[in-house]
Amino acid sequence: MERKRTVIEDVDRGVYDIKNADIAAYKSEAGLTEAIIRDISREKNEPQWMTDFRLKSLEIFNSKPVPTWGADLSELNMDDIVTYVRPKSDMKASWDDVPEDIKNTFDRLGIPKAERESLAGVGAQYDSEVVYHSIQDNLLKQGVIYTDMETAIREHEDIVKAYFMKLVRPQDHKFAALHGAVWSGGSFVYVPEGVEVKFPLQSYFRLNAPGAGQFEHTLIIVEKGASLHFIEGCSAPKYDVVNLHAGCVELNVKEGAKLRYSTIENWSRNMYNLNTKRSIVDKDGTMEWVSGSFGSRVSMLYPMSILRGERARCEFTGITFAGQGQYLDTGSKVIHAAPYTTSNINSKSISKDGGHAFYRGLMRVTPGAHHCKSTVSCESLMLDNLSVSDTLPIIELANDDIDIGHEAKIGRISDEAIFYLMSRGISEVEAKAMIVRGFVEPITKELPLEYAVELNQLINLEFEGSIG
Amino acid sequence: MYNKTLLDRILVQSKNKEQGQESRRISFERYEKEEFPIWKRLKIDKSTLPDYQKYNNQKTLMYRQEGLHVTPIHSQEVIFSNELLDKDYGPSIKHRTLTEAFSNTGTYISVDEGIEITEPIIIQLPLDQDNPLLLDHHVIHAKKKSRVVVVLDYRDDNVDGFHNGVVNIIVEEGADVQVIKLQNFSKRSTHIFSGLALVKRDGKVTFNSIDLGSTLAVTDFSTYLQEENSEGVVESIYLGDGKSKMDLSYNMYHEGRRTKSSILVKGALLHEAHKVFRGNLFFSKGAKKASGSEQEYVILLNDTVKSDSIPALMCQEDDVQGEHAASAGQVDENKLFYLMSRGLTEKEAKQLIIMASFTPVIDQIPIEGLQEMLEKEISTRLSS
Amino acid sequence: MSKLLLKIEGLRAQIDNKEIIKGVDLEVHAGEIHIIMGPNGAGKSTLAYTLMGHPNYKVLGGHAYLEGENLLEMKVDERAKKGLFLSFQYPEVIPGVTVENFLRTAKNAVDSKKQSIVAFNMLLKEKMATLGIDESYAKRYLNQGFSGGEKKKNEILQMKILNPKVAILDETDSGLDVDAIRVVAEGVNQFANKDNAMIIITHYKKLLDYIKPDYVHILKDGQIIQTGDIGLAATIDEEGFAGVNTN
Repeated sequence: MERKRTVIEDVDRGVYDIKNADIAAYKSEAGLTEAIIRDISREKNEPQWMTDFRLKSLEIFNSKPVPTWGADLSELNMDDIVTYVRPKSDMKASWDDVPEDIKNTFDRLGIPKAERESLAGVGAQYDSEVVYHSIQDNLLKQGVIYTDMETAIREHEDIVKAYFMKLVRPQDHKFAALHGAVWSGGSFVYVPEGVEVKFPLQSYFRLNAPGAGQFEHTLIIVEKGASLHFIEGCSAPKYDVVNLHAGCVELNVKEGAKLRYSTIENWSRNMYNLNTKRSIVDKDGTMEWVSGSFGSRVSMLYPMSILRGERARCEFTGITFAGQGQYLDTGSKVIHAAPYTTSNINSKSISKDGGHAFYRGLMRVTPGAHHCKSTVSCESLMLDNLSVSDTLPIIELANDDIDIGHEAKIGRISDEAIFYLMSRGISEVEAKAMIVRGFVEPITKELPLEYAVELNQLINLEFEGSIG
Repeated sequence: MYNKTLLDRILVQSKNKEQGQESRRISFERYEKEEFPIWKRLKIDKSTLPDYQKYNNQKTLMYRQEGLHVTPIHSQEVIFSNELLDKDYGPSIKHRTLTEAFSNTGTYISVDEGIEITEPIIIQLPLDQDNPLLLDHHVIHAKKKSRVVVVLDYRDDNVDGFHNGVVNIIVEEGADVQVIKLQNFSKRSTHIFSGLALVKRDGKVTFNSIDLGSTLAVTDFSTYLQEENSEGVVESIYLGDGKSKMDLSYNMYHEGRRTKSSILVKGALLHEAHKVFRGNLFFSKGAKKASGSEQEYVILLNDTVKSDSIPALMCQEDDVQGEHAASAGQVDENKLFYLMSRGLTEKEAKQLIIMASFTPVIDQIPIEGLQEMLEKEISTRLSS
Repeated sequence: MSKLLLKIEGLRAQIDNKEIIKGVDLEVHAGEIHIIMGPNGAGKSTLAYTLMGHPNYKVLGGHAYLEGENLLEMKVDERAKKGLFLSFQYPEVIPGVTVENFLRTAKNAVDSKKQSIVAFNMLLKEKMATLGIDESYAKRYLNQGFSGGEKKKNEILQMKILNPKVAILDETDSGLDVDAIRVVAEGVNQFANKDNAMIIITHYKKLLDYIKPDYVHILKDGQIIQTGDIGLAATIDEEGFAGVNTN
């Protein structure tokens, strides 16, 4: 069978690529200095402890080397990153009050529509600040807090202080330290004991300014027996300069609580996505990650679950699609730190047109964590031999009373499968697209509907290029 | 200690041919440039080397046969091609080049075209009071369509031994080589082993590693499947007990088309043993229709053991199949219960289950008495 | 004589550089059922794959026409659209693609028109019922976790839905128990009509208890060495392929 090669300069990402004029109200100088940090903190009117925290983080940032494993970060010059860009709008509670161009951006991304139809609350961040936030009244009455981080510090300082960067510490790595120093925006969610949030909350992060960084902080606390589904969406239009995203997500799942965290990252291909996500799960708690990584030039993202209470469990369902010029290094980390904990990791990756997909995972069982169960499955699909696909799952066991299974597969679409579908009248291009959609199906069915549609469109788009 | 003076002394004393001398010099240059490794996972960051001394304990058991040439290493005009010296292999370049430069024993085996060596060549390399240091370097050269089996048998006399070995295997067109490394040192010895196989068209190399002893056992075996239709097989078993540390690393480099590889590792860990397994399948661009698989199964017998596994698939070619599977856990409770209900003691039942897990590997190894020896070893260690 | 659907002339084909089909001639008219029998390695499956256009099978010579159009120049999907169908001996498993979604896509492609989902689902339900396939199979992934019998029934279901002009059944009966063979045979009989034709490749005579062929061909060493009626199949059953007159 003749094999055709797709050549697309960059995927037409439609609405994601529409950019607005860069007219920010305030911009910090490029590069990172103590003065800039103090500026940010003053501008935000923060309590002293936060200013101190930022400065301490800056110190750590300066003392840590850029990681040498994984992605090539040599083109990422910290001095070029405008760390703080505040849009010309304060936070609004009604879309009507959001400036026209920003509102149009979110309209095109379908956020207000989704809010009306299927969400219990929405947050929208534009560059460094949250421009819109809403939450259903009934949730407010039950004590659910869903707001931007800046407001959270003002109104719920005690809670924030108790949890902020305790799970991801600035000492952990260079970009966690950077985040601690310059973080801005993000979401804060607090679900009180026993409250079940039936519809998802969604925060959408949009980076508009060229050469900027986005450092949103997401802090979620789901108290005993409560449950929540949180959706995070990210995108940015394409610019020629390097953009940096070094967000941080800290998820606290208390006894018997349940949290599902769904993410679709579709950053433009000039983005360095160096995000840190971590969750800690107490007794009988459940953490579910659903993660799609499609965009960015470089991603290094390894969501970690620390199962610290007995019978805590976590699931990770992830898909990575690396196209031309992309290096996507992702994977799930699980620490079984208590007995009877279970984890289930299911990761799929596709590489195409010279893209490089790297699965780098960790599954660790600590000495006291007996009766743990874990299954890890990694499947990689290569669509041509210009691309690269690597799988490196690390398994560390310090206990015997466990049940661990792991499997990984790598390969391309089988010619026999294509032949079978074509023998039923389906064209070669459609046959391939169909097989790829089938490959990601276990993941797409876990995604919120609009994201599942988006993923399928992305696959179709990738294959349309090879027609003719 | 391991300096130019020592090298010169060895070169003067040995009967090495010029080419062998030159290869020692090249390796020495590299040795001097390299640093000793830090084995982070095993928490070993110091490398004290025992003083150099001669080794006079090697015994080679074989049947003479036309077309088979077995001589001491460096005594022949052995082809130490740049390829052999430049390839990156071994757990640490420092240790490998140390032995390449200062080897105190070793064998060169060459099999002529079309010759099949029917009986395994057994090389015994025991450590004892007078010979506690073993730096052995062996080269096996199987010419076109030849066939040979070589056994490297490492044991000791309960001394503080140090072993650092290197094996190079060249498998030419259609040849078939099997190398079996049997390591049963006492808990006082250190064992480091670097293996390299270069496999040409239609050739096949099989490496069996049986690691039963030593305080630190580090093995790294790299197979380069350089030409079309070549095949690499690693089948390995290990038994870790006491406070032993083990680092087993098997690498398959698929370069030619239709190359095949498989790695099968089975092990059991007791007491405070710590094992690290690394399996790497590399598929280079152009290695079309290649297929590789790695499987690792470990039985954990105490809650104080440590078992790390790092299986990797590195792929630059889409037209390949790569697979990895691993599992870890205790002896299956149901099996244990079943066997005990038939009157076996728990120890006997466990021993039987571990042996059953090893059987697929043992069956491939043409050494008489291996099964009995393993049974005895497992039984002894389960009792301690 | 009724309309000529498939015409094969001096067809020669190879796989892995080995010639397997060494000159096959065959004419199949509308309303006919042909049986091809032969020993292992005779080239039966190769003939089927070559006609369907499998990329690993290379045509060395000869011709094949479907309703006068040159099959051998067409891509695999074009052959299907022209009305050729192959029931696979070992149907592929396609994870993540449901039977329903797959068949609707195929049906739309073969008919070159988009059918409404509702109308299609009604058709699917009806055809599944005739084959005794449970409705839940529509939502299952194509052939994933299907038993041997379920896979073969699924092939017959596809044939019924896509409604080809010429259907080749490659050992659809192999590995099936008597009940499954009967279901498959019933499916074949329901499908066969005066406008279409079938070529049934089989190893066993069992299927012929249920299907009445017009012709039985013996394929041996890449050539059709004998053609007869159902009586020929009986000879083979008693005497084996050695009993066939090769002169």
